[in-house]
Amino acid sequence: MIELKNIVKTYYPQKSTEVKALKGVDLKIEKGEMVAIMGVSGSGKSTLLHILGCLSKPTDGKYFLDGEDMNEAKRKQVYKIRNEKIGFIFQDYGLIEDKSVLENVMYPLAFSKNVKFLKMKKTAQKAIADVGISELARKKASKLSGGQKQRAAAARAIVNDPDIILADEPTAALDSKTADEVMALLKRLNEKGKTIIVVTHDKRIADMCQKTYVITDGCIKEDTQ
Amino acid sequence: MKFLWMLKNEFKSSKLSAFLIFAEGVFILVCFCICISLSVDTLSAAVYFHSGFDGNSVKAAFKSADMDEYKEAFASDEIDLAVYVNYYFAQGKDGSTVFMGSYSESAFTELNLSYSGSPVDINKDYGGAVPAMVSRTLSKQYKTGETYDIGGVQVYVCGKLNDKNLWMMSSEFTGENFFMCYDKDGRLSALEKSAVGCGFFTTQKGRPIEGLINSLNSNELVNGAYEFDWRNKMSEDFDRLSGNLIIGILVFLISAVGFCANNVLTIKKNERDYYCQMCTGQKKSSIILLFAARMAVCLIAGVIAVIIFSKRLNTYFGEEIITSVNLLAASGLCVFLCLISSLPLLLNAFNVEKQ
Repeated sequence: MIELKNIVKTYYPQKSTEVKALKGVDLKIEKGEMVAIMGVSGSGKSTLLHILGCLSKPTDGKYFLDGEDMNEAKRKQVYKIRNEKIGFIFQDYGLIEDKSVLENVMYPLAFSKNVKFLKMKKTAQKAIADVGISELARKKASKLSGGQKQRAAAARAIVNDPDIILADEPTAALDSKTADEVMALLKRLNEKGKTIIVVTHDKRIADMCQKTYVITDGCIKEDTQ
Repeated sequence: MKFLWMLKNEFKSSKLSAFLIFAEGVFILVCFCICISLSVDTLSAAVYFHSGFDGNSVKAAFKSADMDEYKEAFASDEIDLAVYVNYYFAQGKDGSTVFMGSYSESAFTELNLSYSGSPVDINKDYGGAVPAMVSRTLSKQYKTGETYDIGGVQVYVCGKLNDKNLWMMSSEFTGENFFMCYDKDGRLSALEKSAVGCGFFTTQKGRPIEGLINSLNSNELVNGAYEFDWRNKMSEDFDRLSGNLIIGILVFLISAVGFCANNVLTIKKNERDYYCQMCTGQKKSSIILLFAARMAVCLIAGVIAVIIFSKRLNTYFGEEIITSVNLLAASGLCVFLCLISSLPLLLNAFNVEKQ
């Protein structure tokens, strides 16, 4: 389903400030897998996530998503893929703080052509119910606790029913109990057939996934231990 | 519908910024309208004179109490186009004195009069009444579309002249209370039995009269033929205009800084939100479109506020400075300012690598 072939990403190429963030990454993730990508700060995790999420293009190499070469994809197609095939969860939740949970979850639907305006609210309410925070739908994001925010972010990520969920350090800002709850939520989504890719530096979180890849200085390898 | 929903959310999340854009829009529109109205006559006169006038001076205006004198001058071969007028006193409806100007047909066909209501249609029958345009100061008593008995002559009010047209009446005769009439059948001549003055304006052969007249002050409409030194006049006018220009540039700079500051703060505040929205499928172009729409709504609200304000302010400022043309030009400048102050920032806000 996801296949990276010899992915290279270089920032500021041929300048004195040139940075090689990824140096030939090969990665294959099958549909329905729950995978952790581990690495220290600056190892290239976020760059890899940006490429997987079609937010930036690699300098070299090939990225296939469901057999489609993403390097060749047109901009319009990329927007559609980000909206319909991929859901993002961020370390800092990425919610619009002065809007309600419902409004935040409705946003991806506003960009989708599959859901009509009149159905947006109902669809968002269902996603909020799926992550177990129906009673918070009308609350502003700024009034929520860290765990509640991450659940709201998860609701936003799944509202368009994407196949892949990319979670960038989803538990880093949470205490261990709340982190476990969020991971349990991601596991439940995985059991429903979603492919989950979790970027983390926490071994405990990585252990909850089926596979772990370690990224060091722009190179990746599977952690078989 | 979805776009409107997003626009509503955009406003909800940046109320203060929206209000500031609105307030700044009002400030800029009013300032620009003032600058434009102070400059436009000089600029149009400059364009007029510099596009083909021969020599440095031109026979420009003539005013006389002697009808024969002006008729003789009017018949001169040197003159290609003339607008002439006879002035009469009359008793207005409340007993006050009003001044009736009986203008030649050319005044209604050749001059681009500034007015509200309808212009005088020289071919139309106004039910036997003399069609006229009324000056702003009389417009409160004499309503557009009504017929009034003035000194025994039925006068139909077609529209209201803006103060810009005051050059057409000499202040020594009229003050600002006058009717600009098209008296084809000479009915006004019965008023007070005689004309109290007459005059005409001419221009060089083949040249429109209006640009020349607009550049003259009423005190330059002297008795006898007047040799108008347009180069000297332009030089004086541009000296005066340079002062306005400095004020205009200052307003432009202050406005640009204000818009930039507002946009920088709004974009910086929302940068992370834009990034997150893009991750969920929002297009760069639609974020820019939303931002532009929010700004447009604020500016349109500003324009409407200025129009309402100017309508309520039934004065020279409200009616002659905040004109639709000035407002349109000022709005154009405002939009230009918005574009240059927000587009580079917006484009930079979507640099995913720095998120």
